[in-house]
Amino acid sequence: MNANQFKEQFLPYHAKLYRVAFWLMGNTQDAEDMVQEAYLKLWKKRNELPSNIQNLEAYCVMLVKNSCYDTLRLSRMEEDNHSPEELNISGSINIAFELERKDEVNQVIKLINQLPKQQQQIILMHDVEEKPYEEIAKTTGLSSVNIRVILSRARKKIREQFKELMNYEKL
Amino acid sequence: MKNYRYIEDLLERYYEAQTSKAEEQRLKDFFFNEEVPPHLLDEKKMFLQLQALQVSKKLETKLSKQIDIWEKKELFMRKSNKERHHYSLLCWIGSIAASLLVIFYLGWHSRPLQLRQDTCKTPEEAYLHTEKALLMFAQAINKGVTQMEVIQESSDKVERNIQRQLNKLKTNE
Repeated sequence: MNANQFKEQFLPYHAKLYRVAFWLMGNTQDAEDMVQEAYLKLWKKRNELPSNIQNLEAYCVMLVKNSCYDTLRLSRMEEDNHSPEELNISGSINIAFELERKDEVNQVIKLINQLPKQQQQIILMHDVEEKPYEEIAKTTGLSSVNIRVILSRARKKIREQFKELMNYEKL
Repeated sequence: MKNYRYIEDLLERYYEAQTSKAEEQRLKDFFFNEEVPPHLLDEKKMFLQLQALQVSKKLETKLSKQIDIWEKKELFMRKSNKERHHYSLLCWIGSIAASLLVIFYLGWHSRPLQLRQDTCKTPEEAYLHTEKALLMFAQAINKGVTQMEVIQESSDKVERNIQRQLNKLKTNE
């Protein structure tokens, strides 16, 4: 399995793996490290994964959890004599990832994917990838003014549809 | 009641895509860290989800680059091992060839002369030639011995003559 095939098969789980790692580790840097460690383990054994894996995502989550538990066990477990699940890590949890944990992130990305192509491209480049207007102008060939107009339309569309979704959920 | 006018103005400009990076950061700080009034809760959720998407995208890009690096490392190691294997194989073959060359050279130069001059066609012929050579050798030896005897006899004669002359001289004194 080459890199492209590996990415196609396993990269889609990265958000979920990050949520799990963040929930256990409590900070972004450690969570990223754990996710990267899990992907390295997967990469090394990509051609010899057990054939009876029914749920690949669950397998990946297990890898990440084990990495986190091992790390936590080394650094905190011996002091506290608590299992990782018992440790109170809520102190510095980012609310964004509290939402992620509840899978609410999918709403905005779904709405973005439903936008017209150009609006989708601009809002992804500016609001998700945080690229400056100059870079977006270079990539798209559009002027800075045009980019702002398209971005404005995209943001308003997302707000409108998001509020509809929230109202629908409240019913 | 707290005045959220500033935030609401910023939001209006945000949807017109007129805010600067710093102003957008101010909005994020408000939604992530401060108390949000009920009428802005939906906005808060949207901002949070966009923030989560940002982090997710950055991580995906980072992981993608890392996977490419792992693949490159693997291919490089595979190529190096192959080259190392070929190199050691060449060294091995080279040393064997050199050893064979040395053995062959030494063997070539240590062969006896007769072998190079071997012109007999059959063993019987070789035996007759050898017998003849030995006979000639023996005759030469005998001849030499005979000549030695002749020389010795002559030498004895000369010595006897010298002795006779010496005796004569002594008598005359």
